[in-house]
Amino acid sequence: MTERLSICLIGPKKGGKSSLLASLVDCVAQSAFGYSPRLRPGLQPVTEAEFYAEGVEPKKADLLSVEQGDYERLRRDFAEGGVATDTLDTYEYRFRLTVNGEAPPAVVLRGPWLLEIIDSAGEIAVPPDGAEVAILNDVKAKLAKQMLDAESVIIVLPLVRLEDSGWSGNLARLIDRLALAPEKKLKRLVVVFSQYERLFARLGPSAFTYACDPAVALHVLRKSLRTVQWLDRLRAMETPDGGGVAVRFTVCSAYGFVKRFQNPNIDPHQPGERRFRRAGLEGARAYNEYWRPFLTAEPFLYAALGHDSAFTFSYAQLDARLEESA
Amino acid sequence: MHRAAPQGDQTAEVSLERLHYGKLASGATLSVPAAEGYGVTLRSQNLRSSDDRLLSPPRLMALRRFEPDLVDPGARRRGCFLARVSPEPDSRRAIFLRARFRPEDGDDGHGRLYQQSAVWSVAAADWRRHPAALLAMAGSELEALPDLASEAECVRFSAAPARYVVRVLDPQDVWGALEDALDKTHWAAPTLEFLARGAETGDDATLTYGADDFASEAAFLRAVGLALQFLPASYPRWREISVVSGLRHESQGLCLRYLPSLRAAARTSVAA
Repeated sequence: MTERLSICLIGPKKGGKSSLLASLVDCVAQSAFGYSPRLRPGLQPVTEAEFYAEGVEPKKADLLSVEQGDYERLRRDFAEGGVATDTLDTYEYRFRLTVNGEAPPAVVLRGPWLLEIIDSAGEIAVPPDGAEVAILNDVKAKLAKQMLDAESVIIVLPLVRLEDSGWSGNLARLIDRLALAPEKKLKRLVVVFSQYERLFARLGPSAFTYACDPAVALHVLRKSLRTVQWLDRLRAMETPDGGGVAVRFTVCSAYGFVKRFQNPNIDPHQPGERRFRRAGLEGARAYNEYWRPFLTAEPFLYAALGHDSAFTFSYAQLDARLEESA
Repeated sequence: MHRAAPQGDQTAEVSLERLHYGKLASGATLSVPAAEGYGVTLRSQNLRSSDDRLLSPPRLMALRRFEPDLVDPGARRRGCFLARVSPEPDSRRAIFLRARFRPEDGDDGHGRLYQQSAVWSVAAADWRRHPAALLAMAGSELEALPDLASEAECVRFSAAPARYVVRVLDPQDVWGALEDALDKTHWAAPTLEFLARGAETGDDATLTYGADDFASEAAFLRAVGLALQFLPASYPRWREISVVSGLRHESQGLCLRYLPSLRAAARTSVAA
């Protein structure tokens, strides 16, 4: 049986939504996630026609060819420094997800999954507080419908002081509206803090070791979420009256850490923000030798499977230390 | 914005409505401040907010999405160019579009790219009467530059339409110039044949020129302008003609296109 799922990516502009999505397939391929390696997930971009066709099976020819189409373009743009997603439409990317290894029967028996992941400009759903952003009405309406129809929502937030972010008010209002919408189909909501590697910029080759400790991630999440206004509203969504939505928190880094050297993957010798690359090569190949994304598959795999990893944290886990100290 | 034709010639005034989509910028390098997001940043006073969708770059280019790899490498800095009758049904306007991707930290920066575009809208009748003058003018003056964050919104959204005075060309002069081109250049005959065949068959077709044919976009637009100026008023597919430069996407209808980095050896595959 194939399960079709719709996942909406939202968050403020420059939060890293498109980068998260662009690094998803590589993260799965490199097993750079917090799930057990025995889960062995497989993820393959598919076309719209393949997504809507019945009984989709991976084409044998695809095993030997690189992905084509919109997702390949997104990956290429990411390799070249990224392109700000425009506000003229919302953009759908489609994938076939399989779990080829060990997982609880409740997870495995539902698969394979056909995922439709919806990316959109941050200005549409979470504009800067107080700003009058002229967005085309049909685009706003389309995204609103996509959010209500989505089984999962992933909120991507840059790891900054949220109280000074300049968009936290509009994010709170969006969460309020989503929580109060009776027609929503939402089952899972993941809040992911991006650009996690930046916290470890001064740790050099120890950076990856610390980043890989779930206790560090939990500490970072507790600290980041301490002052946010919308935390209780999200918590209320978990109750049966609130829709029984499963809420999780996690961290990720699309740039990730450098293979072998273990430091955050931002090359200080390059202009702008660029990953380390092999000189003399072009495109994605130039980065592959060093690039290991960090946990960018986590929010998508949880959104699709509802299966926790070592780096997806529930309210119970966030609250645990508070209870201990109390 | 007002331009005059040389004295003594017969002239006509053309009014251009303007619409810009992109991000506001500031400073000497025109970098995008962190708080700025995408939006329509300038709309001249006779356009309405409902025109934002109709004049959006992907719609004008008949694309689902405008992407950096659709811009010819030779046109990346200035952007691609498009002239056509606006695609809405029974449209009475023609549009000129310049669209590009520029770094958020300024034209010489290395930051994330974003889309910046500028559209001129003119009466379709003016486009029909003065294709040579309008192509030359748009080719040289239509730039996808960001508006300034320091400029008040009320000013940017009540801008007066630009008015240009164009010289009305004598058909004899047009024919004379075209006759010369038929003798001395290798673009004139294929272009006229392309337009004639398009009228005859009604099929969609694209005629692509490259760097071997024209040294610059301006030279291409001059040549195409002359050919279009020569078309009789009864030409049946005028509304389907698009003139494109630097865009690696073929429009429907009759598309006359220039790709500055296309060389003869590569043309077969691109034009196919």
